[in-house]
Amino acid sequence: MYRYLRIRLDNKYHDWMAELTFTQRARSALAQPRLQHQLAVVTQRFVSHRERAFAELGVEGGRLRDLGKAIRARTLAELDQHLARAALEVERAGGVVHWAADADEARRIVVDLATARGVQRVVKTKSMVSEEIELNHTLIAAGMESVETDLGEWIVQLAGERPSHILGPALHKTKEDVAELFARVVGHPVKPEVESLLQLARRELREKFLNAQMGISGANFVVAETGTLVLVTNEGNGRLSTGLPPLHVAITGIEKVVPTWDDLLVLLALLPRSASGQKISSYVSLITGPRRSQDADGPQELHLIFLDNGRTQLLGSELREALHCIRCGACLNACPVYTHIGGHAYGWTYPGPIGAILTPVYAGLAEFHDLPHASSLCAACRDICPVRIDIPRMLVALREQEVAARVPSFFERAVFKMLALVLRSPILFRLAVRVGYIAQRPFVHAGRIQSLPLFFWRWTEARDFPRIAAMTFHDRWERMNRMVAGNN
Amino acid sequence: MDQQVFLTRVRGAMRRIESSIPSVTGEWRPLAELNGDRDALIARFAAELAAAGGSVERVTANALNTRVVEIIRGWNARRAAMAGRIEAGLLETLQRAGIEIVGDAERADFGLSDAFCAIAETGTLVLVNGRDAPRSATALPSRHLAILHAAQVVPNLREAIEELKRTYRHGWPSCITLVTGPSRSGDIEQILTIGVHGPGNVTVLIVE
Repeated sequence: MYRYLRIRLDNKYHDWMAELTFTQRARSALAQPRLQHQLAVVTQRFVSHRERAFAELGVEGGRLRDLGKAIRARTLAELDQHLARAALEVERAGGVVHWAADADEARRIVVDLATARGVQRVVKTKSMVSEEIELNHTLIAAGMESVETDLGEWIVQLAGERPSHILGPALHKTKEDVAELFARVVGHPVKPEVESLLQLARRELREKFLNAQMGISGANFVVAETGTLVLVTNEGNGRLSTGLPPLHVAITGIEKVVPTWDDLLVLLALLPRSASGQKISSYVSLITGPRRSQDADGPQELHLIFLDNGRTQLLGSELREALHCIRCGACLNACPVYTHIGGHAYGWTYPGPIGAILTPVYAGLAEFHDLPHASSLCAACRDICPVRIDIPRMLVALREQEVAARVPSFFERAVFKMLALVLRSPILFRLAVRVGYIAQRPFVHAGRIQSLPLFFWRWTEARDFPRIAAMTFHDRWERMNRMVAGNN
Repeated sequence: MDQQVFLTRVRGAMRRIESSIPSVTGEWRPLAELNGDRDALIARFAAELAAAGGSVERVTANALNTRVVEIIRGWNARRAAMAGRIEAGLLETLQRAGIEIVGDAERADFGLSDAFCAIAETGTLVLVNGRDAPRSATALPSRHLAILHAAQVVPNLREAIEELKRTYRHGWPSCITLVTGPSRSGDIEQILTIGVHGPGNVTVLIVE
């Protein structure tokens, strides 16, 4: 059984898991009974909440999803226009807009801004983009304190780990785990009781909110019509992180822009329902620029960073649809692979079916070549996606890219050449089937083949092969035709 | 990167693919049929907010001030942070009841606010910050008491946005918050807890 260690090296967290291959990480996860149990319980709960929410909508739910898909497609087909409008409106409202081509540039913008303003403490609300660009590490390395304020994110930050799930980052942690982590924060033992753990978190993080010089957030959407950032939250940390510190920095992917309020209404109706079965989250913050001079409170400065980091690559490819994602997490909950291996096995910021597309594109196909293959193409993700993204199609496209990019071994090339030859020729195919019928004899038990020999053993590792029948379909077809002809 | 360079890159990528945009049209306007039916709207608002963990009460204008003081006394609360327009009569009543209005929301026992409007479909309060309406008053204290008038309840978010557009046609406010019940988290073992960073108690009084 694998264990993963966390080694702290000069303020950097080195995740030993990162050294393992995808297969090793997946096997490690499969061997942890508690994780398996948590994954099953949590994802099933999300799925049934989502089902209930959409059942309430009835037929309108389907129309809503179609609308959502159309809105995303249209937005991306005119993306430059909407980005330009969004920037114009944000600036008109008194905000500053930055354009970051890649993670490096985005990090630099944030750190430069923080340094220039003498920022010592940063509070962060949930933002997948900020994890994608590894912002926390950079801020900490620059000598600042950067605290995650979303409870689940704070827990994984304290543990030095990556999140397990888009919505439930700490689903792999028990309350005992959390109590232990919190005990290190406060310097004395803490009772593993959810209520008191939450009160502790509230107290500790409140102090951070009130004393931070910069708040960092993502944005679920940016409404171009008025330059409004939309933050969908439940805990209240979003409001405090963006409302209390004098400087608010929002970082978001270019695909998050939504042309009009009409469009936002549709997406806002889809996101909470698909994510957690809520009609709406506890809080939706609609932020347009920094405080106005007459406002009672609010940040003096608002900076919005639009991030590319591989998104234009997706935009200009057959994988454009991956940018339709509204980050609800439903595909994770539906996926038989994710629900067994969990988020850490994917090795990066975005897990699950959508992660199997985004990670190779944003973080490199060379390192993450396994992910597009980690799927049976069952399409449960496509069925559950609120904007009907065809994930399986894109996984296959990525597989093609992946194979084209590497040179397969002589053996693999030889086998596939032979296979192509046999499949192209009816005579060879029928000969191969006859040969197979004879050759299979030693391996057939009770009508099934339980283990194939040599390099074919992987196909029978988890399931049995049916035997090759004495009479092939071709034979039957010819015989039926003869019989029919004979009767006429 | 410069905006023009960035957008040129985007444009280049955009044009590389001929994407088929599904032709779906239509609006999302749930509960539009309730427009004008005040009782139905209020009933729906109350049901939704209760389902989300908030409390709703309907009071007459005469009974409002007394009820507010009762609720505050029930909470054993002494200090209030305020957001929005609260009627002078209510302010006086609070003062007489010994309730202190504080400027620092962190010191307050509860936040007292009005609302721009309320959304029946989801049990949501629409709060607009601005002069005399700090964001912190409804975000920091552990309780939030909101006072609404019956006419302020609209069927859905679309109506609310349309009203906001009419009111703020010369400039959108810096922060509008849609509040639906108390703050919540399921991040520890997926056990739902109420009142994490935001208020754990949201009480709405609808005045008729």
